[in-house]
Formats: sequence, structure tokens, C-alpha cells
Amino acid sequence: MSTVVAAGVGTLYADHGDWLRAYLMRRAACPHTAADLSQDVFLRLLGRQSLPPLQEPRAYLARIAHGLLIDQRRRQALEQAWLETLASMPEVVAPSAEERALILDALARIDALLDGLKPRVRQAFLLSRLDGMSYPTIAAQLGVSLSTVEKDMARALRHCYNVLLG
Amino acid sequence: MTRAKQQSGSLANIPDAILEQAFEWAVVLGSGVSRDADRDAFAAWLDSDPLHRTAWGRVQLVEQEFAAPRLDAAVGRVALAKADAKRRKKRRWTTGTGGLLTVLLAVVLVFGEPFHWQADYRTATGEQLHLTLPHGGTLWLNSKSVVDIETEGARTLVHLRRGEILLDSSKVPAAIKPQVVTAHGRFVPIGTRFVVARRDGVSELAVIDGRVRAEAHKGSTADIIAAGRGWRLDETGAGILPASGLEPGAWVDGVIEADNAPLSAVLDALAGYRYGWLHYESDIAALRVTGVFRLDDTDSALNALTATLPIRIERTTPFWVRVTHNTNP
Repeated sequence: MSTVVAAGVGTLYADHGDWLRAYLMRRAACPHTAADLSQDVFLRLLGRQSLPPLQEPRAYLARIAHGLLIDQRRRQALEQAWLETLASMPEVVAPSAEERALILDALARIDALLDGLKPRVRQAFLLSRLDGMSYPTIAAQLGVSLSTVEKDMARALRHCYNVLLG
Repeated sequence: MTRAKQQSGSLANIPDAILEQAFEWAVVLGSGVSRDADRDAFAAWLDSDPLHRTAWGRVQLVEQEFAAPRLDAAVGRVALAKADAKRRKKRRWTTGTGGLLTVLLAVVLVFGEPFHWQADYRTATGEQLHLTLPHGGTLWLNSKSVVDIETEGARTLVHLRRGEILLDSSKVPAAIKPQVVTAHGRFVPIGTRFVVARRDGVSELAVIDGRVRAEAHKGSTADIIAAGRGWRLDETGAGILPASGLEPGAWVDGVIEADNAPLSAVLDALAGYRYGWLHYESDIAALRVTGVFRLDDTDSALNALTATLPIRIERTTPFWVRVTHNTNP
């Protein structure tokens, strides 16, 4: 373990440990889980080679915590849905085992961010941010007005922001 | 206040209003059809306040969550929708009472207020919108405008929240003509075409054809305004709106038509179609202008004004424009 990292994590813990516990308390099912997860966040940081320069340390901690908050059942349900989808699209090349872990991790994070949004808002946002479709194309595809698409985008961003950093 | 907020566990330090601006920029820049003008205006916004930069950085953190390089977008999207649908189905079964409550609420909504629906529309800078109302009538939204459209039975109410609209209800039967409502009053058409605008705490009416009944919320003033006339409603009451010299509703044809209008009125109208700031000095506000100016090229319109008036245009950037008196023409 690098001493630089250890010192950095020590400072993060002293300055933002309480804040992170409060952040997790509002999201985790019980106080014990929140305390455990908060320890996990700092343990993960200790395992790193280096820490990036942090302008927004709390945002950085929140992003790590967000990944740890995703429960196992949810992850498994998503994996199941992903495998089914992959099977129904034979033209898509199946990713390697290593890629698969990365993809499922990213998907689980996205899934947790979008949870609670209306299906149309989710779909519009994913068409834009995953597929890179333009708003006029999305409006045409979903049969809604351009201003509805724009409103959906703002709503989705605000929602994700609140889940991740709010 | 910031401290209290921080202690409660929030990331804090950024006012909600700034965060909302950052969301709006993320919406604009992620549209796939944003223009150079949008990006320049965004750059100006980003530079104008360090908090803007912090807010933008945070919104980017959110956006990065969706940058999953190895993910096939279509597969990911379908898998996410599938997982969400399963979860919703499960929730419906496991939360029976919640479901029942929802049904009861829906029953109350459906039977309590029959045929009631509401929709809102807004236009961005330089944009116009043209709508056919549910029970007839045509509505145009000028640049930077917001309306809610509400129907109750056969009646349509257009709530003007911001900006300017033109309503043509000449072909709609008298009993169900759409009405316009603002914070200051209600405008009931009598066979007609008219413009309503909200500016600085005032609701302004300009009647083009037919007549309009204007009712102030405050007091019991109601007046019938004839074609070619203007009326104003504000917090204190109602009164005649002197002619501005601008042809009302000419923006529907994409132009400003000025007939001996004060320069301030023309510049204010052009500013509604521009990003950034258009400032002018008070000593040139009353100069008189006659002419037709296109709204799709406001820079040319500004240049055209310098040809006939003793004014000078200073462009610090395309988004910071000052109009001043030209003392040595």
C-alpha cells in the first residue's frame, strides 16, 4: 500500500467520512449496512495505486458508493435480462468474459440510476445517451413532440443527478 | 444556510438555479442537432461564473455513467427495459394496496373532473411553435414562450406563463372559443385574431381582427377591445396600451414590421431571438425606426439599423452586443 494513498485516504476519511455515512444512510436499507458500506468505500480506495486529483472529493466518494449500493438480486436480474436480449439478437457478437463483467457493471450502475423513472423517459434518455440518437429522431420514433423529448431529457438528468449526488 | 445543508449530508454549495441551468445546457448540447451558436453561448455561460463550471463538472459525472464503451447500445437498452418491466410487474403484484389506491385515485380523477387534460409547450430562443388546439383554433408561440393548455369539457384555456402568443379563433363557434389566461387576467375572444404578451409584470393585448373581452383578475374591470387597439393588465388594474409602432403578430411571418417605432421596441424584439446579451443606451431608445427586419438573421437586422440611424454596434463577442450613440457618423 502506498503511503501517499494511505495519507490521502486518511484525509478523505477525516474530512468526508461523516458525510459519506449520511449519504449512505439515506440510501441503504439499514444503519449497519450504511456503516459497513462506508468502510468498504475507503477500503477500496486504500487498495488503489494512486488517487486522482480531487476537485470534488464528495462526488468521487459518492460514485464509488453508488456502485456498492446495487444489491445482488438486482444485478442478477439484470444479467438475466441481458443474456436473454443477447440470445434474441444473434447478429450481435457475444462479448468475452472480461468484457462481460465490465458491461454488466456499467449496466447495473445505469439501471440503478434510472430506477423510478417512467418507461418513456428512460427510453428517450437511453436512445439519446446510449445510442446517440438526435432528439428529432427520438421524437419521431416515440411519437411525441420535440419539446416532450427535451423535457424528458432534463427530467432524466435531474433524476440521475439526485440518485448519484443529491 | 449552506452549512446546515452540508451537515444534512448534501453535496451542497451549488444553488439549484445554477444546477438547473447546467441540466438545460446538457439537454441542449446532447440534442445531436446543436449549433455553433449554442456551443458559443454555452462557452460564455461556463466562463461567466466559477460555480457554473462546478455544476457542469457534476452533470458531466452523471453523463459519464452512460459512456459504457464496450456496451452494444441496442442490447443494453433492451436489457434495461426488460429488467425494469419485470421489476414493475413484481411491484404491481406485491403492492396490492398501493395498486388499489392508484385505481381509486384514477376513478376520482376520471369521474371527478371529466375530460380534463393539461399539456405544456415551450419554445427556445429563436424558435416558434404552431399548434392546433383540441377544440379548434390555431395558436402560435413566439420565441422563448411557455404555455399550458388546459381543457375542461368543450372549453380550452391557454395559460400564458411567459413570452408571447397569437391566437386565431375566427373559425371556432362562439360558445367554445379558446380563452387566454395570464397572471393578470383573462382574454375572451369575440370572433377574432389577437396577440397576448407578458413583459415585466404586465400582460399586453393587441387585437388584430374582431374584438376581445379583457377581464382583470384584480377588481372587476372588464373591457371590450376592438381591432387595432391595445390593452394592458397588471397588478394594479387595466388601461390603454399605447401603440408601439410594431405590427402585432408580424413575427408569425418571421419579421418585425416597424412603423415609426421607438428603437427600443425593435431592439427588444430582436433580443428575443438572440442568445446572449443585447444592451442599448437609454439616449438612443427613443430614436424612430421604420422598416421590415428579418428575425432569422438578427445580426443583419442590427447592421441594417446602423445604416439609417446614428448608432454604433459594439460586438465584444457574438453574445455580448452593445448599441451606443454614434457621435461622429
